Amino acid sequence: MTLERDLRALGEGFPESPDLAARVRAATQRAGARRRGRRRVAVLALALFLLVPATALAVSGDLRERVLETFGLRDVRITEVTRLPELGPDARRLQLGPRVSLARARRDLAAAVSAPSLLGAPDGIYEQPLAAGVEVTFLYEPATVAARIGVRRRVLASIVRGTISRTVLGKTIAQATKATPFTLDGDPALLLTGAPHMMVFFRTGADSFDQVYTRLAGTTLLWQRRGLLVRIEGTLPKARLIGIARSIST
Amino acid sequence: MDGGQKAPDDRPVRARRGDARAYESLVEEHQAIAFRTAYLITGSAADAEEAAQEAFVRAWLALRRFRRGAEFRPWLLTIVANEARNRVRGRRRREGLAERAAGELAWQAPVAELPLPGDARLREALAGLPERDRSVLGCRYVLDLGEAETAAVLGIAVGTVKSRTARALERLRAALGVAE
Repeated sequence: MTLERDLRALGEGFPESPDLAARVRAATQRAGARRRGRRRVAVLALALFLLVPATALAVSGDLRERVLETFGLRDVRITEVTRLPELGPDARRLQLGPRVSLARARRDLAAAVSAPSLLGAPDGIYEQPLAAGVEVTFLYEPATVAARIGVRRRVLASIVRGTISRTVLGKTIAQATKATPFTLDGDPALLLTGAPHMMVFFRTGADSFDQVYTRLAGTTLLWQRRGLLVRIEGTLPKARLIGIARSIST
Repeated sequence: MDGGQKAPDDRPVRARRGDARAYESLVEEHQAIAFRTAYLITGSAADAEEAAQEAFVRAWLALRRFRRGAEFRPWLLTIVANEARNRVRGRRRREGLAERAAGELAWQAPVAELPLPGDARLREALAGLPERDRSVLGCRYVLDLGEAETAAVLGIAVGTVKSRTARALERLRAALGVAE
């Protein structure tokens, strides 16, 4: 057994093992926080939505029940379908609601929001009434965006408040649309890229849900931020969308 | 009590349920063997330290997949070895070196090349062995791992560990010109 013993003796000269416990503890705490964030987003992205075919978005009692079942979640539901349903010409329109002043938007949203500082003053502020509040949108036309950040793209920066029990923003994505959940500054975020997706707003009446509008949307960042849902829509790189979202003061 | 039979280690289960102290205790107990295993694969103390740390984090994240009642150490060492191999591959890529086409283990640090004490003739003989022989001897004797743990680290069957160890020892003896 001399040879085996001599081989074992080689193992006596390893460098001293570092003390990893404290670093592992810190790393697992960080990883745990990231995982919890991803879980929350994954719930948003996957648990999701009203498992109705996109072609059957007409509101029914059953749909309402399913919405109610998900009241524990906030603000956005995603459903994936093989292909999007045929949409009428209205779906190509922005349907942002009437133009309003910033003061009115702040009052109706009950938040001292401001336009994204990265883009500066918007071309217009619009307000889409919802039963439990409003969706405020800062609209930037391509020429404005080109002048501010050098990229000729239309950008919509929208903010929605409201609990899920009163307002539901639905998004229907085809398989060609990629939904990437991630955590942004510790809050759940979702990036929708690829093929356009269908965006549906619902509002709740006294005893029914009504579909407010349906339209096609392109690359979109969704970010649940301190009780508000921030949505940045525009064909821009993820980092730029994040920069715009972060520059919105709420 | 039936004497002699070891009670199952409940720390992995407790850690999975969120007991941070239980996992810290596992880290403290296994950090040395994790570091040594990674060192033997990477040949770099810095890489080994990072690989071992990352392996503990990955293991913690994967605790849900840990089979209740199983041995924690072989399971951990599998993760350590994978993490160490990935670092070796990454380093090779960074250095622009071609990936090895075959071999179940990128055994980067032949025992003979490590700055370990011991008989220079033995280290030279080890260096002349095929990589798979060096790796199995490294696990079984230099790291002093059991057969099951060696199998876990190398990703081979326990039976293969036995036969490969026997052949490797035979070749080493032949290289040294010593009888069994």
